Amino acid sequence: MTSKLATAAAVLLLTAGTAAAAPRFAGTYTMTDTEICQALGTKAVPTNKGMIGQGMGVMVASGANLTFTGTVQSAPMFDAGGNPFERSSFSETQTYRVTGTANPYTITLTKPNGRSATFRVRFDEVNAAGVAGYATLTGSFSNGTAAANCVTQMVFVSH
Amino acid sequence: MKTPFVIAAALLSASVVEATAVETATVEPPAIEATAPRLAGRYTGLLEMICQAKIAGTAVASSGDLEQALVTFTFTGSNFTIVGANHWGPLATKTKFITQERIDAASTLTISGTRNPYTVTMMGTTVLAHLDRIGTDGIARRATFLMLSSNGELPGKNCSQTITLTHD
Repeated sequence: MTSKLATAAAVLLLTAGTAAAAPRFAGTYTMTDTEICQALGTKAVPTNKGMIGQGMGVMVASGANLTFTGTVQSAPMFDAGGNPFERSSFSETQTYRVTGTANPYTITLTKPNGRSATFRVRFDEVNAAGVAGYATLTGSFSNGTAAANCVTQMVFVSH
Repeated sequence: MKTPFVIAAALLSASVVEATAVETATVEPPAIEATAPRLAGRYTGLLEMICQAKIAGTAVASSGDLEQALVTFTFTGSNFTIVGANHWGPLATKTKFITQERIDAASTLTISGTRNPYTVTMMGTTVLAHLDRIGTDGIARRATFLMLSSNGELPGKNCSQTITLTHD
């Protein structure tokens, strides 16, 4: 009986440990995103014209690396007509780290040059191996104009 | 905005200028499919669109567009219908707030290509599309569209839109 109790306790501990571990990315995901950056200004004419960007692509997760590739289209939020939306491609590998014990988790992404940013992420469709099949990321960042003048929302869906 | 915007760089608080320094990475391509998947049956569609607001002289005119919608797409062969309503209003305005409006529509859709991103033609517009979670029946249970359009307010493609479809 003692042995069974010990086994049960061990299972409980293991289960608890598994539940506490943060989910992770693995494999290929389709990613979509929308970013909106403030138009900064104190008068009717924004001194900075803001930015809207939408993108779609693939994120491949391998270990701690996330490789993003795809297409993005962006334009100033306010314009006189000479700067319509332009499409461009992107490709970059970053590392990621997830902390927390329950949704929403905190995810930190780090560029190869060492710069990093932190966002909130919700993981869903997490399998027994801890791999998320669906994730939604939100947060704010700077496009270089000011501190945290943009918001972003991203969705990742495993293939 | 002539400077390319890079999602990943933006995520890392990088400046837009810095984002032009895109790194070349070896990426595993998505699995190649012999034929394009198809869309069939009913999907929940999440639409998000934004159109630039026109600057006139030193003032920002009441213009642009900000729009989101949750609708139902139903695909039958190459035909599809949209049933639902949006919430929309000018991006810059002093007089008009967000309102709701029906956006029911019917049109045709064709898919071409052999792998993601596929090319979709719908409602007179060419769209980039990712088709995923494809069943053995060839039906994609998830689809994402990325499209450019014009609302006629500014020359060129002054609107950006995404549509995400999830099979019901």
